[in-house]
This record gives sequence, structure tokens and C-alpha cells, in this order.
Amino acid sequence: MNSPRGSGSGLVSDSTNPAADRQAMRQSDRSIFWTMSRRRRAAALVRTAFLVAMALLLFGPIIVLAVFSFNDSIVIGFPFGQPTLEWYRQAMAETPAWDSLRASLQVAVIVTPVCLLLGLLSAFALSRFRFRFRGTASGFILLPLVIPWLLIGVSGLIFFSLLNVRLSLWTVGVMHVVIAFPLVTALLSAQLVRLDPHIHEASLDLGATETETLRHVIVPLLLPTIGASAVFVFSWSFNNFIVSFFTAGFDNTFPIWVFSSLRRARDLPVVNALATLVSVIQILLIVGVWQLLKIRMDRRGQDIRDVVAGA
Amino acid sequence: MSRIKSPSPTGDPPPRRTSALELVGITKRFGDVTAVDRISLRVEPGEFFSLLGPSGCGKSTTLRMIAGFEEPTSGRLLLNGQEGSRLPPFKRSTNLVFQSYALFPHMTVRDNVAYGPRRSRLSRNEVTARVEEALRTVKMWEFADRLPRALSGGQRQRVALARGLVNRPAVLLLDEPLGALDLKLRREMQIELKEIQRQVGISFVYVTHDQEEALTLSDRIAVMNRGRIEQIAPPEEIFNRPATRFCADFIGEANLVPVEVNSRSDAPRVNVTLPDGTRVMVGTTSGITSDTRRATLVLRPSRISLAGSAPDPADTTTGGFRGRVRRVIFQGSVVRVDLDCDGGPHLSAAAAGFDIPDLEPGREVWATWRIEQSHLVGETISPSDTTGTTA
Amino acid sequence: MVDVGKSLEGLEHQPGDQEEAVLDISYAGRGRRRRWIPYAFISTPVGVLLTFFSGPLVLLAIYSFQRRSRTGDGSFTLANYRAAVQPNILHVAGTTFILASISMVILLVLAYPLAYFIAMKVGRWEVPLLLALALSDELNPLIRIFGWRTILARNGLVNTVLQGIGITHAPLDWLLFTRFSVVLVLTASWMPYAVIPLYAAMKTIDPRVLEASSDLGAGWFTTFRYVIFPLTATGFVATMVIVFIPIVSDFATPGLVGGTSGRMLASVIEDLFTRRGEWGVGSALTFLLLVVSGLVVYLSYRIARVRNLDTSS
Repeated sequence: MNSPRGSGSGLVSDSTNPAADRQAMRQSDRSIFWTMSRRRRAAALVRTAFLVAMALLLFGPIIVLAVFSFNDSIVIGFPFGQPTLEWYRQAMAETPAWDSLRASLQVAVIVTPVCLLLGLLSAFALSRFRFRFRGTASGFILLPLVIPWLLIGVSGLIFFSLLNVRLSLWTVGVMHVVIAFPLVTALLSAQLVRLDPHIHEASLDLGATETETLRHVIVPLLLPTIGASAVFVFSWSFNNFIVSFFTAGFDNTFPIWVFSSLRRARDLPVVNALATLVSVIQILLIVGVWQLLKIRMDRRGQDIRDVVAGA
Repeated sequence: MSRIKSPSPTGDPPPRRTSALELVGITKRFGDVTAVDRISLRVEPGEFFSLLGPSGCGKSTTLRMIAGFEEPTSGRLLLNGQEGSRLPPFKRSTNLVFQSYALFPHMTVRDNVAYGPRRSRLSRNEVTARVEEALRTVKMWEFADRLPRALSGGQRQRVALARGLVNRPAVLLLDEPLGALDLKLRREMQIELKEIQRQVGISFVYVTHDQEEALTLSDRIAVMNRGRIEQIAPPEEIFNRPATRFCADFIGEANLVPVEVNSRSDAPRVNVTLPDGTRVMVGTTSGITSDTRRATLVLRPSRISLAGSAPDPADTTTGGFRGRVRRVIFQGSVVRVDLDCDGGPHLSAAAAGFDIPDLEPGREVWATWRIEQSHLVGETISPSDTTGTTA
Repeated sequence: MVDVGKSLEGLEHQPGDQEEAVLDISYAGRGRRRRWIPYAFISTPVGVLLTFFSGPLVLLAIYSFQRRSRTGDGSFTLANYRAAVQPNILHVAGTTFILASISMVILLVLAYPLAYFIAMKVGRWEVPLLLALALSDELNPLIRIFGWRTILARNGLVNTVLQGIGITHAPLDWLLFTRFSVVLVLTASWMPYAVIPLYAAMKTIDPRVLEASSDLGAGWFTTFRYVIFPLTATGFVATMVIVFIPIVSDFATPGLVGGTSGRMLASVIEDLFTRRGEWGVGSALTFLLLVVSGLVVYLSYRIARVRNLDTSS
């Protein structure tokens, strides 16, 4: 499984058949494992064990929830009772939960495009022009990424109450924009400065104006990064608890509903069923989108690792 | 040094045609650095013109000024007779082929090539027809639906060429377009590039640091050094009668021998004294004035013969030098012999073979040349420079 | 693609500004009228932040120095700060920094090898593992906390399994609502935030450098000590800051798995705002938290620079 690097994986291949390449690599990966010295084989096994442990740390809790959401016992633990869909049936009737889910979705759906627009504007200004206040503006726009969300939430609470703005999903949305669009700026700027300047020049040389170059070359090349940013921003908004908690007033978002249900420790199996449902949908959507983005980025000769590492 | 012959635009100049491109006293400074210093040149319609020089000599900056990516600090730039130094690249009748090709990675070969024509608002049929014509010219029509990343380096190079040609520019600019290819492919592409240029009849301005490439392809070459043009001439002339020591040294291999000029009474031939005191005549000269005293004799290794005995002193058509063999190097198709000559200079001679017995280090030989194949430039060289050849 | 000659050529027409990472394409006739364009682009995002980010933070600071209640007059006072530094709050602050530091150390100890393996050792698994990390970051943190509660609870997974196979006879009480559970859940929650920047730092190392190192006879440890660690040191410091700040200000985790012994500063702030209605004291405490974590960030960068690690970021 874990062959060391250098089995050709890092080398640029000029082959026109990537599928055959991958096949060849996979075989060499396997054969290399058995030709390694015993010490290196042991190291590879330790590595695998470590990776599995880390995966459990990250995904274990959600797997456990998913498994026990089908357990008919009110207590979440062994022995496993009868499999049941009872909790899912009850979850369907849990109106406050569905309202909070709808609220979270509404906020995220509005916040995401706004963040993309603001991020695109700022990334463009910061990475494609030299101007006087560039350094200052760049530092300022990235500042919300290093300020604790607690602070942003609390200050938002004070801000809106002093201005007599009623706290609602709208105020939640505004604060979500503040915390999330700088991330888009960071992701897009990183990708923008990575573009080959000669590609931009080639477009101008072939008779395209700056606007046409933007439309036909730059934006199409940025699309996968914009897509990835959308995934991040949507998730950040949908999952955000701390900022929403302070600025939602009497409205509930889904994380707030989960928090208060857990605090009261009431109907936990129902919460569990809902949590499982939400997580499964999230996983399917996110994995699907990442896969799509990866395929499109591969076609453009871009590297999805750059996008994730920029986050 | 193969050279592809083509009908060169010499002969009687017609009553002043409009040049495809003309630079008049163009200078480019970046801060305190003068990258290009008062250069002037003309490129005629249909001409294959090369800018040749080492890295940092200003040839790429010159090319970028022609393309419109840099504005000249001073000087005039005429495209088809019209002043164009302030036009942005998208309003110029030039197209640039980048060394990195700069193909649009998200577009197919067809869309890459169609990019220019689409920007100039041609009808759809016209665009389709032109793209097909351009792709067929570079033999890439079968690959029209591929993405650039599914092509080899040589194929990408052809697409980049087609993408420039399809716009029928007044001048096609090429920035070391073959630089990323391996030697064998580069040789093939050179021949093809020349074919294509002749076929489409568009002026090419070709930037390269590879002197062999420039000699092979060009109708005329401008040799650049430190932001200035040292010589503009057809390849034979550059090779046989370099204008400066730099040209002699940079293009081809050359033995450079410091000499003293005796007289130039029986012009055009000049009489010089070699370091060992021998006097010989010189075939051709560049930059020699009546008060030039010291100069440099340029002798190509391939024009030097070796003999076992001194040339006949009465024979005025041959110059000669006595020397000792330092080493004999077998280089495949040629044998190169390095000599230490009387009076100091080191010479190299290269030939398919030398008709001398016992050619080994230490043997005394005579290096001789026909004087019409020797050339004199009016610049001296410092003593440390006299090692002879430059590969 | 990159040959030295070409890079030299490149120098002559791109003087300076290379380190600024701006892709400013210049060309003839571009003119001065374009000067305003970046300002047109940047004004809206900056305006949004000035209004809804700086504005609230400034208000928070002012608010913390004001005497304010439903009938208050809004005059200057330090009373909020005096109330914020009571012994019982200071005690929680101490706990917070200890727990946050322990979590941070554990995080780095686990994240560093994980980032190293993903970046250098797993071959074609690199992209899937990286995306898995991103995925775990994009799942709901509260659901994950809930999962930990079901695992660690008195009648939860761990205890029922341990008793079921006879290792223990009574449920372990220290698993949940303790400092242990806080550290465990904090560590698990913020793992992606620690791994991704470290991964990015390792990716900037040219693999040929490592090959060169082992080619010169360096063992694994030597390569690590003299090549990998120095080259990732800046990223390491940055990661410390990146994870320390959100950990210090997290209140969902201590609130849901901390019980009383695992109470952290953020829970106190939450309490002051939501249940006790003491906004003045809450603001003062929040502001102090900002100042202290700002100081931590600043000091980390200073140390990094003094150690001359600040070569790239």
C-alpha cells in the first residue's frame, strides 16, 4: 500500500496515456513493497497503522454515530440491540430541527455567492495590479482569518445591538461573509499568481483585449478554484456555530439546534439520526464536488493539491 | 554547418518597398540598466530574420518591444511603415510564439488556433477555414480535438506556430521556439520551420542564442551583444567576414590571432605581421582604417591545413605558422588538432583527416591557410584571450 | 522548462518586484488611466470589512471601557476590567492556556508526521488523503463532538466495550466531562488546521534535496534534523499560531464535553453574554483574550525571526 515516493510517481511523464501510466505505477507500487528490505517494510506498516489511527480520530465519531443511529436502544453503547429505523421516523417529525436546517441552508446559499464575488474582486486587485496600498489592503483583508471567531461573534452582537438591528438570519449571514470571503481571497490569489504570465500575454498578443482575456482565459482557468472555494465557504457557513450563536437572536441554525439539544441531553437518538443524515449528505456532496473539480483541474494541467494546501 | 538555400531578397533594391518592420534608434532602459542601446534594423516582407546573441544581450527585450509588451524608452518602431511603438499588443500586426508555447491549457488545439481569428470578428466559416489551413500547414490537423497536455513538446510547438500563423501577421516573432526540444527534434523542426516560412511568405523575426540554428535558418542575422547590434548580414557573410571580434568568436569556431598591421597600400589586401614575425597577406577586412596598427586575424579551424614542412615562401596565396601538436581529438566526423604555435598563439585545425604521418603530441607541423580565407577585424584581443577557439 | 539562460533573460525585463507575487502584465500603451482600476476592485471588499469587521471590533473595545447598563450613562470606567480579572476567572484562564497548550503540542506531534507522510511518503494516496483531511474539516464540528460524547460517555462505547470484555468492572469516570475529553476533542477537531499548513510547507521542499541528502549518506534522522525541519520551521511556527487561536476561543468543545473541570475562558464569555447579561465584563474579557492571543502571535513570529527561520512564508 505504502510504497515510498520515487517509484516514478514524481516524475513528469510525456506519455499520452495517463491511464496506462497509473496502471503501471500501481503495479510497481505493489511489487516494490515486497522487494523492500524488512526494515523498510516495517516502517511502511507503522506508517499505515498511524494513518489508520489518524483516520479513526477524524472520522471515528461520525462512523460511530452512523452505526448506532440504527440501534433501538436508548443508550448509545454495546450491546447492540435490534436494528431499527424508529429514530429516523421520529427525526422526520422533529420540526425545529428541520427549520434550523432550512435556515442554515438559506444562509449558506446567500453567503456563498456574495463571498465568491468579494473574494474574486479582492484577489484580482491584490494579485494582478501593483498599487500604493496593496500591502496594507492585503494584510487587512486576510486579518479575519487569524482573529478568533468568538471575538467576531461577540463584537457582532454588540455592534448590531448598539445599532438597534434586530438579530436574525440576516445578521448571521453578514458575519459569515466577514469570516469566509477572506478565505476565497487567499485561495484565488494563490491560484492567480500561479498562472503562467505568458498565457495572459499570449491572449493579448492574439488580439484579445484585457476584458476578453479575462472572460476567455483567466476566469475559465480559475473556475475549478472558484468551485473549491465555494465548497469551503458553503461548509464554513453551514457548519459555523460560534459566530451564528452570538448573532442569530431568536433564530436557530442547525449547529445551534445541535448544541442546545446536546446541552439539554434530550432525545439524543433522534439527534443522532439527524446528524447521521446530514453528515452522509455532506460527505456525498463534498466528495462528488471534489472529484468533479479534480477531473476538471487535471484536464487543465492544474493541481488540486495547490487549492487544498492554499486553504 | 548546413544551410538551407532560399531565394534571398537581395539583388537590385526595388524603388524602396515598405519594410514589414523597421526599428530606428530603439533604446530600452530599466532604471539605470540599458537593456537595448540605439538599435536600428529593417525586416523585409517574407524575410527570415534572426536576432542572435548570448543570454542577456537584449534580444528578448527587443522582441518584446516589437510584440508590444515593452514600450521603447526612445526610438521609432514602424510596422508596415506605420509608427507602432505605443500600440498595445492586441492592436499590432505581429504575433509572438513563446518559448514555453503558452498554449491555453483549457482549450483544444482547434480552439487555441481559432482564438486569434475569433477576436478579429471574422465570420465563422472564415475562422473554420483558416484554422484548418493553419493546422494542415503545421501537420497538426489530425490532433485538432486534443488538449495541449495530451501533446508532445514538438507537437505543442507546432500548435503554437499555427496559432501565430493563422492571423497572417505582418511579422511573426519567435522567441527561442525550439529551445525546449531535444537536439534531434530541433534539427528536424528547423528544416520544417524554414519550409513553412517559405510556404506562407510571412516575415519571421527569430530570437535565438544558438548560432548554428541562426545560420541554418536565416536570410539575415543581427548579432547582438550587450544591448547593441554588432553586425547585420546574411549568414555566409557573418561567418566569413565577421564585423567584430565578438561576431567572429560567437559564431562558429574561430582562431583569433593578434597581429600587427603593416600597411594597407595595396588595398583591399592588407599585410600583417604574425606573432612569430612572419608577414602574410589577409583576404578580407572589417573595421580597418588607415591608422589601425593592431588587429585580430580570424582563422576558422576548418580552413586550416596541416603540413609536415614549411610552405614555399614564394607562394603568396598561402599563410603559415609553425607549431607543435598539443593534442589530437577525435570528434566523430572530424579530427581536431590543437597546436602551440611559435610566438604564443594556440590554433585549432579541424578536418575529416590529416594526411600527415605520426600525428601525435609534440610533433612539429605547419598550419597553413589560403589567404583569401583569412579575415582581419580591427579589434585587438587581450593576451589572456588568445586560447584560440570557442565552441 | 526552466533553464538558467532563460531566467537570466527574464531578469532583464522583469526588474524587481518578483518577491511581491503580483502578476502585473504590462504592455505598450497601457497608460496611466488604469491606475484607478485596482481601487475600484478593492473598495467593496475593504468597505465590507471596515463596516462589519473593524467597526464591531472598535465598538467592542469602546464598550469594554464604558459604564453601561439599561440605565447607564456610558462614561469611562475600568470597572469591567476589574470584574474580568477576578480570581475565579483567572483560574479558568489558567486552565484555558494549559489545556490549549497541551492540545497544541499533541496536535503538532501528531500533525507533523501526518503531514510528512502525506507530502512525501504515500505516493498516489497523497491526493485522496489530502481531500479526506479537507472533507473532515468540512463536516459539522458539533456532530463530531456529539460523536465523541457517545464514545466517551459513562454508558458509551468505550466503557461498554471495556466492561463487556472484562478489562474494567466499573465505568471509567474520567473519560467524559474532564480535561482529558477536552484535550482529546480539541485535538481531533483542529487536526486538519494543523496538517494542511504543515503539508504546504513540506511541499515547498524539492524532493531532489532529500534524495541528495540520503545520497550523501544521511540517515532518516539526519535528513530530518538538518534538511526537513529547518525548511519547514516557519510553517511550524505559523501552524502553532493557526491552531492556538481557535483552540483558545472554542467554547462548543468545553461546553459540551468539558463539564466543570474542563471549563475554558470562552465558556465564561458565553455565559457572561447569554445568561448573566454582563456584556461590559464580557467585552472586557473578550478584549483581553484578543490582546493576549495577539501577543502570542507576535511573540511566536519574533522568536521565529530571531532564530532566523523567517526565510519564507
